[in-house]
Amino acid sequence: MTLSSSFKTPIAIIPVLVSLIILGPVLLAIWFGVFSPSGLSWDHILNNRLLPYSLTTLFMLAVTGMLIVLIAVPLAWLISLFDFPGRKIFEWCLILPLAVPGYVLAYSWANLASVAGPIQSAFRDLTSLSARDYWFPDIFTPAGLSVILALGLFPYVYITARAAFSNQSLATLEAARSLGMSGIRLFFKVAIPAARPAIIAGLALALMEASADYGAADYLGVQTLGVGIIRAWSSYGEPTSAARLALVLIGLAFSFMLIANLAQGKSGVQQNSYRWTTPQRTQLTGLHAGLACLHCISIMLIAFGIPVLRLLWLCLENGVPRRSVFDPVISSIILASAGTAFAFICALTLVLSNHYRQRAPWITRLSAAAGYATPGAVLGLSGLFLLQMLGQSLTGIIALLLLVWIYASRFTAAGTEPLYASLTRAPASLDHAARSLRVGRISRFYRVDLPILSPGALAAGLILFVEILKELPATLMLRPFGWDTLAIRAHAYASDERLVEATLPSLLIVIAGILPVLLLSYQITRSGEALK
Amino acid sequence: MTSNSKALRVEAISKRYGKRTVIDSVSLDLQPGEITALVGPSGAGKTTLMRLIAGMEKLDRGTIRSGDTILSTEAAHQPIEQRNIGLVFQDFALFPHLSVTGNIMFGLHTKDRAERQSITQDWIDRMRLGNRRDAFPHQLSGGEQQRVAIARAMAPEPHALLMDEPFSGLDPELRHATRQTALSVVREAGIPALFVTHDHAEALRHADQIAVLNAGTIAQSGSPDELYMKPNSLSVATALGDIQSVDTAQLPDALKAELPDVPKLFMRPEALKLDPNGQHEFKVIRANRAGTLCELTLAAGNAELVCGYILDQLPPVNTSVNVSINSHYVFSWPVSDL
Amino acid sequence: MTEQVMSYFKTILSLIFLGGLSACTPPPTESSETLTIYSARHYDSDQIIYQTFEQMHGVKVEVREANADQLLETLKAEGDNSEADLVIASDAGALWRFSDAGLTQKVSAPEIVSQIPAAYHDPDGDWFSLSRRLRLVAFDPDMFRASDLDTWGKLADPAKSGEICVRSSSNIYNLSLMSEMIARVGPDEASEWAAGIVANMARQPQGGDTDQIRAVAAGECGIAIANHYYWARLADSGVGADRAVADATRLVVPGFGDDLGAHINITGVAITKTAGNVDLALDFVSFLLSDEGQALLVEETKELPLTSQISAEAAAGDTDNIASVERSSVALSRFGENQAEAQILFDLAGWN
Repeated sequence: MTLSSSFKTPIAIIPVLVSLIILGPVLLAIWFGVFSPSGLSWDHILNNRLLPYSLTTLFMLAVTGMLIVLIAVPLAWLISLFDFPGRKIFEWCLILPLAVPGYVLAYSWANLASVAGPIQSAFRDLTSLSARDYWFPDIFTPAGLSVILALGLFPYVYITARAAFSNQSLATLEAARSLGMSGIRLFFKVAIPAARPAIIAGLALALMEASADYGAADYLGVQTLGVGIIRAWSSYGEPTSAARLALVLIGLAFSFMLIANLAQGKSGVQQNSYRWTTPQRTQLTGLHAGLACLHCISIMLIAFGIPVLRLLWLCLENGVPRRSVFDPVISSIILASAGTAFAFICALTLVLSNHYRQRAPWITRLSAAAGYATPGAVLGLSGLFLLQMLGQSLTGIIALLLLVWIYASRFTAAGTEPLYASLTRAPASLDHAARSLRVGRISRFYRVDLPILSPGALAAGLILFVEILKELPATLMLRPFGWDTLAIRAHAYASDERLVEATLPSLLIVIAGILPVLLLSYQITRSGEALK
Repeated sequence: MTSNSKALRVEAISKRYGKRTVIDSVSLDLQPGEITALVGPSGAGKTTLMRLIAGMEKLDRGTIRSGDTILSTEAAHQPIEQRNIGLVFQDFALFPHLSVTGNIMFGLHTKDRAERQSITQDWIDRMRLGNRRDAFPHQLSGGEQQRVAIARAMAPEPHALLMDEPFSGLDPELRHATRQTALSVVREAGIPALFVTHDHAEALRHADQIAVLNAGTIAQSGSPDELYMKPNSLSVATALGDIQSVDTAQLPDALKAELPDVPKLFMRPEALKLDPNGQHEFKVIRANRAGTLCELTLAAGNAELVCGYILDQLPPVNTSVNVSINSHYVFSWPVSDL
Repeated sequence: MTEQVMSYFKTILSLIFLGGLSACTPPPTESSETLTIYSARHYDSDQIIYQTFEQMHGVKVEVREANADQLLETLKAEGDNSEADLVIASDAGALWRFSDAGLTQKVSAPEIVSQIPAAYHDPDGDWFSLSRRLRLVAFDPDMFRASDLDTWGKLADPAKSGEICVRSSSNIYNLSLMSEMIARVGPDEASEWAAGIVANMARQPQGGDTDQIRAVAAGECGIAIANHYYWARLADSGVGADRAVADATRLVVPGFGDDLGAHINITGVAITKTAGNVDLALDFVSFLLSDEGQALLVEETKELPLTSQISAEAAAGDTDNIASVERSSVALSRFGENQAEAQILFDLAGWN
């Protein structure tokens, strides 16, 4: 491409600047972790806490990853290659659990599955056993946390595996069938290996999210690194120790990012646009159809229906809460809007610069992913350091701007994805076609780029809004005076053993999340057809 | 022929990527109203040459001019949007957010409204897209997309038209009709046109001029007849049709005597004429139909020769046929060219 | 050139947006007085306290709610720039950490101090008690009698093996209990006691105080250690199942085997070092100690009032006569001073 000449102007620096804005808090956290002097408690944390934190986190990630694969891959297989009653509905609604933040799932399932909760109570009533006479899985454990996180995050793998099953491996599957392979063997010998890069890419994203979790682990009393960082800051009062702990988490998250990128490169996303066909699905009947349907329903219920309905029930059972959620709703909307606007501008700048420039500087390709990989607690820490350096209090407007900055740093990547996705509809030849028709830069932006980006822009905006709405740890650390968001309110109530009060803010977050998730689902389903 | 038609001249241009020279001192003359086919093996630089002419790439040496206007030199590069060269892409590159009408009208922004509409209407009619005017690209068949792409490129009256494998994505049935429509439109406009193709029959049948590109250089250019009958190298001969290499030592002496005395010869299928009076009698090893022609594999000494004929009936295998040599289709080149 | 123009456009847009955002936030009004409170409480009824005070004094009350640890860190980070006037925390140990970090100021306010019973004074005068919180035992009356559980020591008795549900040792309520234990019986005996409790646990510590009470009702254990108001909230709940939990359990406030009173904690308030208007802050403290303030403080929380007997029984849902229990003379500041030692002893005893 010949645009390079125009990038020799100082304007070329703008995408680089945006990248630096995004990378700033990440680099700051690393810098503080490496160079700041040890706090008093660091020795204690190093000797007594670091290993348990790390082992718990690794155990949690391993179990979460395993569960996600076990839930998502067979589900994707079922949905992409078989037809059964309700398949079309399950296809999109299996993504719904993405709308429920991990901590909300934890509140609900902890309530449901605890010894005094409805499940165990009903069990005791049915069997007349006492609570001491039977074993029941304990949710307040690392394994319990893993189940919760897997329920919330499995759609990441479901989405990528489904795409892989219904596209590039189709021909391979048909070839394998013609060679007499079928059923389970087909699944393990051909389908899984063919879809492996896609599964790994989705899994790495999901585990990146899992390692960033604070709310669910804190509520379930599981001492992960995410919890440890906040504790080091708040209980030990040592942000520098927190920053050192954060280094471990950053290392972990970055390796997931690397794995995701490598796997994505291998998954061969490019499809022959002339060869797109909707896969011929095998029609299931009778018992098989019933089982397939039941399987999907069960997962939907466990990951979404039951926990959300439980919260709704708790909320309604106790009547209308006295304290208005008006203030936190307004705070949430303002903060999420500001964060969305800033992150969106960053995302658009990066996407356009990378799309139109053959050899974009590495920093513009890396920055968003690095910010996304860095857990909110770590970025919040950077915000606090900055605040201290600026000699500012948390009551001021500066804290607000910092928080918006942190949001952009963390979530810009979530905005770039849908934008890139819309641009796949626009091969480079499209721009050349427009240029050969003597249409100038500015007109091309309005006549080609904007219309093509607009569906992606809508999705990007909504996804950013909801991601920021759900964000807990960074908001917890940096929110300015009187800016409690719904997430903060839910967390505060739940930590205060007042689950009932926590239900309304939690439900509002879920409701706000459903629309963008559905839109995303629709886009993903449709993107296949548009390639025809 | 419209008044603004001018020749497109490519003069000794070169392009390097890093140390690799992909286009090496290529010259090409594209005359108004003439269709030139650019053929050659994959990786020969066909697409790069096209991108250089279109202005998508800058060249390292040489000049490209349209009439008296200089498009590219080492020092100056006129951007694509100022060249007024129509482009048709392999993937058509239709704007997914615009209807058929919107796509065709896209490049007419310099015209006033009424003119814009009448030109668009004219192209919709010429390309028989009347009932598809409001359809979006993803709703169109491949042939329809192709016609929209050509209409869009031609509507602004470009000085030249470049097409990158424009027909390769189409079904064979559609291909012929679409190609006819497209090329007749180009001829009518009287502008120089260049298309890249892999299909030698397509190049031979439709081009006024063929340029064979090999390893970044023009191996040979000229009329289809000239190139088919007098290829200057194996690469040119291969690019334009089937050709077999024959180890002369393996041939029977009688046949050898009629052929040039070189160790290696190249024959097109037409080289052995079926001739009841032919002096050579060879056994048929295989006989099958290959479209219009029938393909016979004959045992000539220790060599197997493949020949093509129009036959009503295939000769049985293991019978013998009499043939004579048609030396127009027998080539030999200096060893250095092989 | 489009990208360049757009980049400029975006930059300008973002500046406008953020500028607009800052314009929306009301600037600090120097003229009308503002009382800024950092509170570790999150109760709807507290909003009424603030509103009532605003109306009484014609001032603006700004509140930041977070847990005590986070408020402490925030105050430390803000240093002299902090706008906080008051800190409210729901534990003497937590308040001690604020004064220990030098974030509070001593204020001479004899007329306020005189309202507060002597056992609830901070000996250093760094903060004021506002309401009472009892740490006690909720038990299954089918398995135990109150007399089996009327000292903390009896809970460590091997006869209670497999019967105790309690939350994790890092929780401030447990730390304060252990701190008083250390003050009363010395570190050695306190360690033995903690080990005895660990040996009697029905399960590994998990969840909050309410979860422990629920576990007793569910039959998983016979004894729960919890603060009284968690039980009181269950008893007052709109949900039938919650009231059933309270109905299925009885309360007893354990002593320490002497006649020196029980372990009672407080919610208290401190005036920060950076407080701009100390008099206004003291007015607020006085209001909280008035009958009206006390009623609002305990109405929703189910804490026990400190200066007034109003609604004490109603507040506690007092079926077991716990409101009249006396506090020991162990200084409340000891809860904070002994906190680090308490955590170490818990860790050594294996109390997770």
